[in-house]
Amino acid sequence: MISDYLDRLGGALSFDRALAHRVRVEIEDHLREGTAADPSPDRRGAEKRAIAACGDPRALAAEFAVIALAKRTRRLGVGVFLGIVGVLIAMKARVAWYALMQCAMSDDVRSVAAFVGSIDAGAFWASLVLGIAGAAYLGGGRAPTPLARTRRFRLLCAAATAALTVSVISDGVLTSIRRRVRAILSRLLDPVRNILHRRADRYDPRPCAASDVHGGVAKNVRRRGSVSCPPRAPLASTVLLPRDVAVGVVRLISFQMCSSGLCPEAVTEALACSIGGEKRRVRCLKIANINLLLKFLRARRCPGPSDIREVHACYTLRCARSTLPCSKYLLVIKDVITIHRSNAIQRFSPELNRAGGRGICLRSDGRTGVGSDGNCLL
Amino acid sequence: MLKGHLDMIVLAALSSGPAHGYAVIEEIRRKSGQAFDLPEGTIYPVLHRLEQAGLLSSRWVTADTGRRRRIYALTRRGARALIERRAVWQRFPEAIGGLLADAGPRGSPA
Repeated sequence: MISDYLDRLGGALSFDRALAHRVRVEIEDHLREGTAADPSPDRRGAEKRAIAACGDPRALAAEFAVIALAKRTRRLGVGVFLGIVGVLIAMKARVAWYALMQCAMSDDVRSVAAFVGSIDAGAFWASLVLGIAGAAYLGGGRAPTPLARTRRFRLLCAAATAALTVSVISDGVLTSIRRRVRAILSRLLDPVRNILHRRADRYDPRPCAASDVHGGVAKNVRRRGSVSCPPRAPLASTVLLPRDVAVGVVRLISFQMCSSGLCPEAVTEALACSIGGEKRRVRCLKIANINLLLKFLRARRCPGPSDIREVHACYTLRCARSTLPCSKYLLVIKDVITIHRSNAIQRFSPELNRAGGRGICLRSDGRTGVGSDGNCLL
Repeated sequence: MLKGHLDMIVLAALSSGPAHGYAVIEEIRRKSGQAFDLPEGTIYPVLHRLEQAGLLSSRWVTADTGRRRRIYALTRRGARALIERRAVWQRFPEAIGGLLADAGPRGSPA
């Protein structure tokens, strides 16, 4: 008789097997003890009375169901919260990735992206606040009944999920806005990999080898007050690439700080710029990560300024005139590798060498810097 | 009315020490002078709910009979909750008493 009762109770609790097992053991102990405590010698009658005192198994299971529902709702809340945190991490990682990859956007696209980004951020924070409010409400226990509390908590969860959906859709829009940039990055992968497997066999910095590349047109940088830096021919003839060039990569061999000489070889394989598009624009990769590169260089025993004296002499003069702090840097081109649409790989180092091993002057924000006098602003 | 105060009743029954479900029911009967004759099964959902709320803790033990048994005990939070509810309850009869004292039979308004 007790077994039948327990079977019916277990069946009614079949929605949660762990709960059913625990309740079954507890109720069985209860019924056996109640039967044993019954003074009547009629064992069967004692079991019947114990079962009757225990109540209807379906009503008992219904009460347990409410508790199990509250527990599952709490787990749902934790899941929603973790989901929101995961989306936050993904958003931050995406932004960091864009910054790392130098995904520059035009001003028009930037304004649209800023608007969508504000919707994205607003929706995300709304979902976070709603999620936290739901968790606080669930833990507060101010609702009259567990069912009412569960209903209100589900409403809060639904609102948080809706806001999170808006945030994810905004993220998708932002990503599609950057599709063009991503396409460029994907085209960059192969050349960069190619470069990373090469080693600069020699370092041959020419004196006063700095030129400026701006908008795809290279301009010579005047070197006032520097006797060792005679004017050079424009670099345009070297940097402007044939129209069938699909992508180009500039290898940089020198990293020069105004205030101190640093190891030029260390960045030979670390930085690269691409040249591509109709306007032959120069886009640089990993330039935003220059601070990490600085740490890397400082951690190594790099040669002093005397090893790169010539280059150093030129840029110290320019830096002294600059209004910017001397922590700016200069990169000198080793050579230019281009990949033509016919997949032919071509190196432009001979041309560069003829032009005097020209360099590219970049500010630490990743952009080329040109002063009103045509000088490269470091 | 009894159902509304079942949580407090169970907490009070466990205030004397850890006990399993059957013992809790016996304690309620004993302390209430057999006044509360509720369906015994209803005590178990209450025990589970109070445990989830952190007012009770529980553990499995093996009884002398060899059966496994779940023992429940008050947590610190549960003890504090019992003190709070007891204080509320002690104010309750005073408030009701005051209401009833003013609610004596009156003549109908003229």
